[in-house]
Amino acid sequence: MVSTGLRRALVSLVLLGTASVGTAQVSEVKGNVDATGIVASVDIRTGTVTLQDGRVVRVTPGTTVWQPVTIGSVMPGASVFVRNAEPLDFRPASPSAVSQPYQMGTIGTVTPASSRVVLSDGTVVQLRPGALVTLNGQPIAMTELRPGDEIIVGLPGRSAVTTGSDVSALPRQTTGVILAERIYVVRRPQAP
Amino acid sequence: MRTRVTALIVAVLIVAVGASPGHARTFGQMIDDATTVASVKGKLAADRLSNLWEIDVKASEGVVTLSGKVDTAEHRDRIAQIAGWASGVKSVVNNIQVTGAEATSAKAPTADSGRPTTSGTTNGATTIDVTGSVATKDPATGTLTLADGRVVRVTDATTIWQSGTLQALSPGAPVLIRDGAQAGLEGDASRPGASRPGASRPGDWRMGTVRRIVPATGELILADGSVVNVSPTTVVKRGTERLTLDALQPGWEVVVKAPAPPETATAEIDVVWAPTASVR
Repeated sequence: MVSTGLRRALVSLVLLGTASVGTAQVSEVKGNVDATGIVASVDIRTGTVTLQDGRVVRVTPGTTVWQPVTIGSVMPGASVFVRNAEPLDFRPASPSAVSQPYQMGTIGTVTPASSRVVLSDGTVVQLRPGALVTLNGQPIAMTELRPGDEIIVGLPGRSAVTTGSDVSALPRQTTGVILAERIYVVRRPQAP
Repeated sequence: MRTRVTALIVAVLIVAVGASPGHARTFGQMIDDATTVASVKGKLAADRLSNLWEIDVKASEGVVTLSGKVDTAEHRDRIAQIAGWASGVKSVVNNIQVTGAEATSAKAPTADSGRPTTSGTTNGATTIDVTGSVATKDPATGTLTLADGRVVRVTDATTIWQSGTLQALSPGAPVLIRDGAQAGLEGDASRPGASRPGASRPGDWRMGTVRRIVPATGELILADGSVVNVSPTTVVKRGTERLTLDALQPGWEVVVKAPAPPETATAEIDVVWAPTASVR
């Protein structure tokens, strides 16, 4: 009788252990990610968020957490990330730039050797010699540009946009090389 | 006379017993299918983008088949996604055809830089992602002006995310975590297609966001620059819906299951999130 009870207890422990192994499944993988989803659970102690799709993401000092709001409820001063918005205008504090044609974008890759920046939408930005690059109004070197930086590309004029023939051999009719006279870095990812 | 009545009763009983279960099940299925179709149509009607096209919806035992024509691949996928959210839907067969050159050019990859990572087009207009501090807003026109001077319009495809904290999150809440560390992957038997019993060991999987596809070389390029090798045997899916590699769109978030040696191509690509309609 005792041995049967003991056996049952052992079996229960083994099953419990198996279940734990089956649900823990936590392993560290290098590389930060963006994850969008519905929260399944939050562990404040470990700083992890488990999404309903099974992804477990740990919040680090460089991580930002965002929740959706409506335009009606967002308040001036609030930090927002607006996804898939239509660019309308650029009205910087510096009046010197107001009359300049521009294009907004996010940096995908930077190649300082060729003075080229590729935006995340595939647009290639070729910096003209002497092009001014600023971050918070302060000049920076092109080598300081980083992937993820949100930028405004100041264009010299309509003629500065060329065809995509030197960009790609594959068909992407809308992609071209933009000659940049100035680049304003308006936002960059938080440093870890 | 009595014999005839008895025979008639017996005949009716035989028909009732023999046929009723079959007819009842068929009738029940018909009701279920009709309910599913109504549910899908209701979801589509509630979505302004999907409402622009006439989409035919059929259902059979939870399998919904969509057909019709739309202008872009994004809209085709969006409609299938919405249909997948309707109650009673177990899987979606997406036979919607994409017409127009816009969709063709939008799906064309480039050798140099690829398709957009986080921006694209909405009804032909270029869209961008912006992060910053709100200076002013105009809900009437849907415009937001950021403190850095950028002015953007919020469209039906736009989502506004406001900075929050870990402590403020609660189960069931939608969330976007940017630059988070990949900490694990749990199977979830409650969501069809989400269980990954073989993907729990370290190095077996990785998360990422699609940057572009290179069909010629069978490569999936993630936003962080990493390259995922894909073979014809690689399973690409979103929930229970099987996809082809070129159906993947920039900005989609995926979980990639590593190959089992000696294979070199990834075994499975699971789309876990795709951009959806906005919260305006």
